[in-house]
Amino acid sequence: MIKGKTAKEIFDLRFFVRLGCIVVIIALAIFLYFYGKQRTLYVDNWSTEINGESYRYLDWAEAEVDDLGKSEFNPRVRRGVQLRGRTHTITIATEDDNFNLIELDPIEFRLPADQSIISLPALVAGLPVEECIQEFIPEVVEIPGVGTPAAAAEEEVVTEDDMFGDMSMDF
Amino acid sequence: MSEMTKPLLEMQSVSKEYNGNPVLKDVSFTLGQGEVLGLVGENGAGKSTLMNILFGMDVIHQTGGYGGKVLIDGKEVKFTSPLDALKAGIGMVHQEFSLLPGFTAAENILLNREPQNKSVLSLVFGDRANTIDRKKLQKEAIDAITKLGVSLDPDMLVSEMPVGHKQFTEISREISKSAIRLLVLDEPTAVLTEKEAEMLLKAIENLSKQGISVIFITHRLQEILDVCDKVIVMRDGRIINSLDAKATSINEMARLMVGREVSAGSAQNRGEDREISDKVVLSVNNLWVDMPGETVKDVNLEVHEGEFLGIGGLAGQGKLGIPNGIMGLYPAGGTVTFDGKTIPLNNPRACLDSELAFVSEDRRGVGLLLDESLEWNIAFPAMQIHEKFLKKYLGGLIKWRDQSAIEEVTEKYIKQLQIKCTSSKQKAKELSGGNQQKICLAKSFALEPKLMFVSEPTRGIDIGAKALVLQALKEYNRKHGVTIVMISSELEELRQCCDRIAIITDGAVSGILPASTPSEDFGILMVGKTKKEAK
Amino acid sequence: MSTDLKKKFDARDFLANNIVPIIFVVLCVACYPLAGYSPEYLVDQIITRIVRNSFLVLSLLIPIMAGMGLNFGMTLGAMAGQIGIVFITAWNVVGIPGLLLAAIIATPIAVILGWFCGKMLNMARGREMITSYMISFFMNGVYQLVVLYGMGPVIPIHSDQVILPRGYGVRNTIDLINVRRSIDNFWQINLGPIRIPVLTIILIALLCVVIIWFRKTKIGQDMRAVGQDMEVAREAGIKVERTRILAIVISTVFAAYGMIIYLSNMGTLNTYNSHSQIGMFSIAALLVGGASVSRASIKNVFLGIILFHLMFILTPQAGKNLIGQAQIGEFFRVFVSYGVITLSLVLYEIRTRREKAESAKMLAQAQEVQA
Repeated sequence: MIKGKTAKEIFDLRFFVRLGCIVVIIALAIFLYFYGKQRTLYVDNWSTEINGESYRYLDWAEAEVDDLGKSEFNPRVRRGVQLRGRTHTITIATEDDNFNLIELDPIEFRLPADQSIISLPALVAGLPVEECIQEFIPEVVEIPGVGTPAAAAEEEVVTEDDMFGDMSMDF
Repeated sequence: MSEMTKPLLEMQSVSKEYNGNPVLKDVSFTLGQGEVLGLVGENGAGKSTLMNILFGMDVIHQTGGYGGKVLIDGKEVKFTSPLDALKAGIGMVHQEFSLLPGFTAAENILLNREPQNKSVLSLVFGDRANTIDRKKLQKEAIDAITKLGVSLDPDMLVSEMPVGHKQFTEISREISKSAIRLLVLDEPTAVLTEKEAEMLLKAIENLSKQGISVIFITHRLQEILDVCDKVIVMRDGRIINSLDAKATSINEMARLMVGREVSAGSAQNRGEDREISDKVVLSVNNLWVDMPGETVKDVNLEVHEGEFLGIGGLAGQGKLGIPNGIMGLYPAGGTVTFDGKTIPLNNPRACLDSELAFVSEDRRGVGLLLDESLEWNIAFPAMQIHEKFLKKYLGGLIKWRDQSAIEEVTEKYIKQLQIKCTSSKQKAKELSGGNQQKICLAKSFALEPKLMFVSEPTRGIDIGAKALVLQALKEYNRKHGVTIVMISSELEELRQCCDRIAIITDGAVSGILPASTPSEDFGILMVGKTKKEAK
Repeated sequence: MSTDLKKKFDARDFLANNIVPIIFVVLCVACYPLAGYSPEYLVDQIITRIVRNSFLVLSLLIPIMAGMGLNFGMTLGAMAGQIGIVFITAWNVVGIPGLLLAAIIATPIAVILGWFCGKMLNMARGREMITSYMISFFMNGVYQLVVLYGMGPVIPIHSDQVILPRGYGVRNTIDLINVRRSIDNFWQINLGPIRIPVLTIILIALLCVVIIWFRKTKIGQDMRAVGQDMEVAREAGIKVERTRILAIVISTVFAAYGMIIYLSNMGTLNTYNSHSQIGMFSIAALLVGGASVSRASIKNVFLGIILFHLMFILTPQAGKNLIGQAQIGEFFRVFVSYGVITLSLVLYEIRTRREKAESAKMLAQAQEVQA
């Protein structure tokens, strides 16, 4: 197959070094994919229902994900945050009925999908975090008369610009 | 050299033929270690073919191999590529330099054999990722230069070197190959000045003292006497004689190179010398021509009216450059006067207008419109230049091709030159080489010039056609009074047709003799004299 | 007296060899007062453009070293880089990890495209530039086929940000917020209004070091040899075809990385146009810097980018202030870009012919010396 080389010469040091490099690069690529992928997490302070149980929204809460800054959550507030990586921590502080400050320990969790939603009331109620977090599927509501799907699909693709394309655009 | 040691190189009955044409016949010689062998002979004598066989060149295998044996150290070898020859310690320095102009001498000497420093990256990317060890490169280059014994600056760029230094760089490169035992030098002094040639000869002596054998191919017979131990004279593919360099002379070598047996086409048939008018019709002064491979440096010639002048000489000495330069095909300078008028150089049209014509040696490239018919080829130049074969209307405003006149003149030449074709409309590219040459002649004849340059008219043509072509030229000269200047490497043909023959060596005229002079005298002119002899 | 002659010759030679950058300097000096930009703005802009484009223009140096002329095929590298960016945008991988991943994805694509281009150029010896120009057109078609129809059904990409509403094919323009200025912002020093992205500068310096080191390697030496005379190199045993293909492959891979840096800096991807613009502009910039078809150095790269982009920035505004129409400046850009490439090619041909005539003249002079 390779001219003039014995099997021993093919599988020499250089071969293994090269193989090693390729393996390292592929491993790096996989690592980067998971480390660098950005997902959205919606931190939710709405009343929600999980496994049949209802959890009422919190009157006041303060939550922080991963040192990204504390945010206040009034009832029925949902904030989205962009996160990179797989494991994250959420720190919650809330008030009980007697306005005593309850600070929960930081809870570690993993994001199940590209867009996820985590429920503050459920967490405060002590549910295991895996049940408090689920994939977030935005509802598609059709607004009559505006932007029909057919029209949207007609977005033009301009491929035939001259060599220089749109010259007014900065280069 | 004791009888116990085997000779470094021995050839036994080596022969070679191309397509049934024998080019080398029964060549046998030996070469000992540290011996310098001189190889002389005219062009076509077989020297290059012999070296190609020694060097294992492709052109030999692809055309049926060779006969006989080549032995190195007494053992037979069969080289199938130049690499084999290199491994056996044989190096060759060609006439055309194989150098990179933008590299220094040192870089050229060690081209593709540069010493390297291993780098980490070579583990991943391969050996070529190693860096080049510049210090070691310099050192090895200087070693080779010292071994050769010349003065050469390793840091000089090849593009800035005088020609002699380029030659030395080439030779140093061969020497730096550690296993070198035999060096073949093909015309190394052709491009050197006198001083450089002296340095080279000393260098060859140096190499011989260090045990490296040298095969030295040259035309300068004095150099053979200066530096060689043995001389081989080749002619027509055979070794005529093997001489001891100390015991021979230039005359003897020249005679052996050029002398011929009496044959049908020889000078015996030329008839008597005739009277040539004294009137000088073409005068060439200080002509230089930049034609690669056939450079003309300083040619002075006078051509008499009605004469048939021959121009001969060895290949590459400049004879082909003369007509190409005068007719404007290559850059040229100097003064050319024809019929009293100065001819502007670098201007083919001016020459044609002044009734000069040129049958080029490059038939297919310059001579013919291959895709056009015979008629077109013969009539076209005359039509363009002298507006022949045209019917003119409206006082010359409209020019129409006169088809019948064209056919008439074409038939005339087909008959006269016996051009073998299916019809006058046949395309030129379909004809044989000999017939193509005849068309080129007819084309020039149709111009009815006053003076015609004919370059290598019988090259590549069979015997019968050769005789016809030469006959046609002679007739044209004798009957129509057209002055003809014929450039040819066939001395015997020149002696058969011409009145006088000029020999061109080193880009200048080395002598003009009547054609009836014996061949050996021409041979001496061809090999040129060094300044030493001229004194 | 002969030294005087030499000096005069040098001034004229200098002018002749560097005519293009000199024209540009004159042009920029003329337009500067007309445009009316502040010097800080210009410096900031120029730094941004150097940072954005140097990697791309530097990738052109290696094929020139190997005697293959201007590599119009760098467009193929740009395409590979773009495909990498498309993927990471669809996967929403952000920041420097995203760019690294894009580079890893782009590398094998660039190697294959470069190998293909190099093989073609080997078959078209002596006509490398026009061949690479045509290859870039051809590959543009293939690229568009892949990107317009293949992305989605054949190649699994499902991001709404990237794919057209109809379900397949990549959008015209993609906003690259996920990687915009990621490398630049990583480490940025501000001198007043002038932003200096240090990490990017380090990357570019790294490439310059690589290129300088490259010349000292065996492969660099081989390329220089092949670039001067292929037959001589072949006779010496150098594998000429492989060396040439390698030159193109390396150039294409660098062009891919350069494109990734460029897109990160710009922040927007023009899926169907960016790559072809890039090829033409990078080559024009290199030529403006005084490079020629057969010789180019790192100095040419930076000088060229500075001059070319100064012209780019100044002329629309100068045109507007002078004639009242900014369009003039934009037409001028196109005219100049094509014009400078034509001028360089013509000058190169003239110079080659002049050198031939020089050698003929030397022959005549040698004759006079002998006489």
